[in-house]
This record gives sequence, C-alpha cells and structure tokens, in this order.
Amino acid sequence: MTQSKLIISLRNIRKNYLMGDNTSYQALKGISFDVHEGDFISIMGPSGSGKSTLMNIIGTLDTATEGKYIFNDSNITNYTEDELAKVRNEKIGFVFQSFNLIPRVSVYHNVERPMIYSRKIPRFQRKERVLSALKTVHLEDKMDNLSNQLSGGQIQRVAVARALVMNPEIILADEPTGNLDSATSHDVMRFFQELNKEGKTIILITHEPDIAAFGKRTITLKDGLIVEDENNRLT
Amino acid sequence: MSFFDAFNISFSSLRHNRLRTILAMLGIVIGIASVILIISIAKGATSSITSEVSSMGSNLLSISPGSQSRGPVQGGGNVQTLTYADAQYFKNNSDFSNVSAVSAAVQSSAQVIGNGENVNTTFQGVSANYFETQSISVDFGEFFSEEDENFYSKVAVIGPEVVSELFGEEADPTGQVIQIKSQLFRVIGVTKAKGSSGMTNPDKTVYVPVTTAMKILLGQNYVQSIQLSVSDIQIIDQTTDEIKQALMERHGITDESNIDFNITSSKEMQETLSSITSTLTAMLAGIAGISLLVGGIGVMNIMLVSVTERTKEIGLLKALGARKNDILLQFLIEAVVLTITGGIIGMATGEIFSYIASIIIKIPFVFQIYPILLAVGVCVAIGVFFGLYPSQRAAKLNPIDALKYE
Repeated sequence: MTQSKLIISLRNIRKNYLMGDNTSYQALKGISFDVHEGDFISIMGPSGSGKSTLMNIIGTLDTATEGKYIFNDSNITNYTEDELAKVRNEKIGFVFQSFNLIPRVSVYHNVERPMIYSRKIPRFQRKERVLSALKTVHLEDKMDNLSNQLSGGQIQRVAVARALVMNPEIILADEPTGNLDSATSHDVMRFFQELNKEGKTIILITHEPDIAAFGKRTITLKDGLIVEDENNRLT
Repeated sequence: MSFFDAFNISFSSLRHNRLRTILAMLGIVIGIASVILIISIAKGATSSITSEVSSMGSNLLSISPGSQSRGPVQGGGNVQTLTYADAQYFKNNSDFSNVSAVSAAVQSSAQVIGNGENVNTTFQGVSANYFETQSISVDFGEFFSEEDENFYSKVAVIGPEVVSELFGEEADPTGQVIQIKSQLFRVIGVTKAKGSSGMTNPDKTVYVPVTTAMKILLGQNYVQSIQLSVSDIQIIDQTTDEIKQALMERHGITDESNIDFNITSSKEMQETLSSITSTLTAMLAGIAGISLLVGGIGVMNIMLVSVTERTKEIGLLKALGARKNDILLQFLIEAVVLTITGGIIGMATGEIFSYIASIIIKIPFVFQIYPILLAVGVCVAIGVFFGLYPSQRAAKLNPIDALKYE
C-alpha cells in the first residue's frame, strides 16, 4: 500500500512557558508524529495534558520553544507572524468550541471572511465558493441568517463551511462538540466522518473518548507527552 | 484585505452599534459645527466691516489727536492737540496739491428735540465736504455749504432714522426746526439710508457745521479728527509724510517721539480691522477646536471599548488568517469613518446655523470652501490620530490570548 502525501511532520516539539516566579513550565515535552493526507486524528487527553498547546502549535497560532514543524515540506518553525497568518488562511480550516461566528454578520459574511484575508481568491469567485461550502454542510438556505437564528449544531456546521471555503489542507477542530448535546455532537462528528471520507484531513482535539472514537487514529497525551497512539499500535 | 473590504467591514460594525456610533460622533459634530459657525460669522462680520470702511474710499487720510508712542494710548476724544486751524491750513495751502478735500470733525451725543418728539442721538460737527469724502448723499434737501461753515450757521442735515423718530417714516423735514442742547437748528437735508456698520450709524446721526458745533454746542477750540482726501492714491505715502512734517512744524515738534497726532489711511484701517478680526477668528476657532479635541478623545475611548469588547472576535479573525495590518486597517477605518461622518454632519449643521445666525445678526452669509476642506482634513487627522492607538492595540493582540478572552 502506498503511503499518502505527508502534510504535517512534528519532530520533538517542546513548549515551555515562563511562569510569574521565573520558573518555567513544560507544557509539551517532545512531541513527534506525522499527519498524512486523508487522516482523521483525534488528539485526546485530560485537562493540562498539553492538547490545547499542541493544537495551537499545529494551527500556527503559537510557536514551539524547540523542535521542528514541517508543513507541506516547508519548515515553518521560524515563520514570521504574517507568514503564519498566510498558512492559517490558506492551509488550515479552524472549527472552535465556542465563539465560532461573528454574531452581527450573516452566515454568508461569516463564511466569506477567510477569503477577504486571502489575496488568491478574486472577489467574483467569493459568492460561488460560499454557496458551495454551505451546500456541503446542507445550510445553503440559511445564508442570510444571523448566528442567533441558528441552533448549536447549525452554528458548528457553518463554522465547518467557513473552514472549508478556502479548501485547506487540514481541518483543525478544537473541542467542536464541547457546547453541544450528545445527539447533536454525534451528528456533527458523523458529518466530520463524511468529510474525511471525501478526502479531507481532520485533526480533532477532544477530551471525550466517545468523540475521539470517530477518528481513524487517536493520539493520547498526558503531561506533555504522547502516551498512546492507537494507529501506531494497530500498525 | 482590500480597502473596499475593510471599509465594508468597518461600516457594518459601526451600523451594528448605532447608538454608540452616534454618541461617539456627537463630539465631532459639535466641534466641527462650532468651528464652521465661528469662522462663518467672523467672515461675515469682517466682510461687513471692511465693506463699510471701503465705502469711505481708499483715498482717505484721517488725522486724530494723541500719541501712540508715549505711555498708554490716548483716545482722540480728550486730547486737545488738533485744531480747526490745522484743518484750514491744509485746505488753504497750495503746497498740498495732492489733497483734494479737507474736513474737520467733532462728535458728541445729545438729546435732539423736534416736532414735539425727542431722540437721544449722536451729533457730528463736520466740514461742508465731509459728505463727499464719506460717500454720504442726500435723499431730501441739500448739504450745508462752506458759507454755513464760515458763518456758524445753525443748520442741520439729519439721518433717516432721526427723521422717522422725530417726524415719522418717509417725512420730509426740510425747513423744520430741531433743538440740540437748547439751540435751534434748521433742517436743510436728510441723508440717504446707509446702514449701521457696527461702529457708527450714519442713519442715526445729526450733522451740523463743525464751526457751529465747536463754538455753540461744545464750547471747545479743538477738533477730534481731520479727514483728508487725496487725488493721486499712488503718492499717498508721500502726501502722508508731507502732512506729518507740516503738522509737526505747526505744533512745534522736532522730535518724532513727541508727536501728538496720528495719521491713518483708510487702507491701513482696513488692514488693522482685518488683522483684528483674523486674530479674533483664530482665537474663537481655537476655542471651538478644543471641543474637537474632546470629541477625538471620545472617539478614542469608544474605539478602545470596541477593541476590548471584540477581543475574542479579533482572535477568531487572526485564526482565519487576518494579518496585523488587516486588523489595524479595519479599526483605523472604523475610527476615520466615525470622524468623517461626524465631520460631514457637523459641516452641514454649522452651515445651517451660520445661515440662521447671519439672518439674525444681519451680517452677510459667507460660504467658504476652505473651512470645509479644513474640517475634512481635521476629521481624517483626528480619526487617524485617535484611532491609531486602539487599532494598534487590536492588531498586536496575541491570537491565543484573544481567543481565550472572557
């Protein structure tokens, strides 16, 4: 079986935080793993395990203190703030637990927003792409609604549409079901599975084992280290 | 992010918080409106005063008693250094060929009685050719002559407002008798309405020959001013110098620092007036400008609140790929849109109030483009200046901290 394209390669990623009393706290103590095209990885772990820190580093919202981060064959470890913003805009689609949508603008304008920050997509293509993304999440009829007119599940699906609109390499979902009831959570996760089947690479951060089970591979963190990698165990 | 997109995003954000936007704009509206109103009123008043001075003619020289070179400035009214003989000297001396007309003048106020009515007004003792030098013409009758001046005639030319108060509107009082300070004068003419200049009101003045006023009404042997008209305005400076030298000689003054009179040309007077009004305008506009500053601080305050309130949103935008400059531009445009919109409303309000004020205080309404351009420039500057700090604060936010902000 041929190995699919390598998207992300993390090597010995460490993150230290300087505490108020001049001591340092190690949130990540050397994390290494690869993400290939078509993966659906659940990163799981209890509170304080370092999963949010890891997500921030993978999402280029934060940088590692040590280690190497390769994204699409480029070492982005030392990228500038604006270069990282470009990576986020073009390569990564985010879905957050809460405050996913800008409340005062419509679904359409929320989904359109990443394209505004891109120099690659011409203005005339925006509407078509928003509609296509909303069709993928089956919410094309909610285009003109504000977020307060949508249910929790619908808000997360709009967030997924926004994450898809730039056609990114990976979708990074940080506790996407954290604010949803279990039925809606499962709906949203099944939806992620569908997207993955269509070829999207997904990294999911969660602390719930049943949600993590929707992924193809589960990486479990504890105290800043990988303690379990189910996929690796399977192979 | 394109400028157009940044503008759209900023505008939608301002529209979302309507009340806050209006309140933030109010400071700018009041500031700009006051500046426009003050400049417009000042310009109207200046144009009214200068047109009044210009109507006297630019070929006029005025000699007043007193000195500005020693101690405090002395007013012309109580300084007795200028005499009727001085005026006659310039009139009768052929050395002053450029001097075409000379008029001495005194002025006081008195109760004038006529036709059973009375009015408190100003009377002026003037020479026969005073009317010519001041561009005053008659509606009824005639002006008094040099003969009247020479023979201390008790004749008077009165302004239309005095006529209407004593004899009624549109009446022709020529030939009637009026009483000034217990002396009877025959009315021989009525001047044409000229309107008040704010300094003097020729329509409410009674003119009598200067000699009569000095001897019979005031009992004084000095005059308060001498007006001279020059024929060739090109050599007005030379003529002024000749007059100065001659008057110094007549007054026995050898040192210029002891000079006891002032010679002012109407051009100088215009310049002085316009300099005074410009200074006043600048001062008042400066005071109004303070309210603009306060308005700017208000905008900054609102922008800071807005940045704090939207911290999480800024984090989200950064996660979606917004760069520092995108966030900076968005908030900066928001501040500039706020101040420019406030400025436009302020300008319109200022112009409307200026128009109303010009009607109420009876000055010409002067519409000028430069205060408007200035106001637009100031609004953009205020928007950028007071919007920059909050925008930079927003742009510098760490995306993780912003996303975690509660």
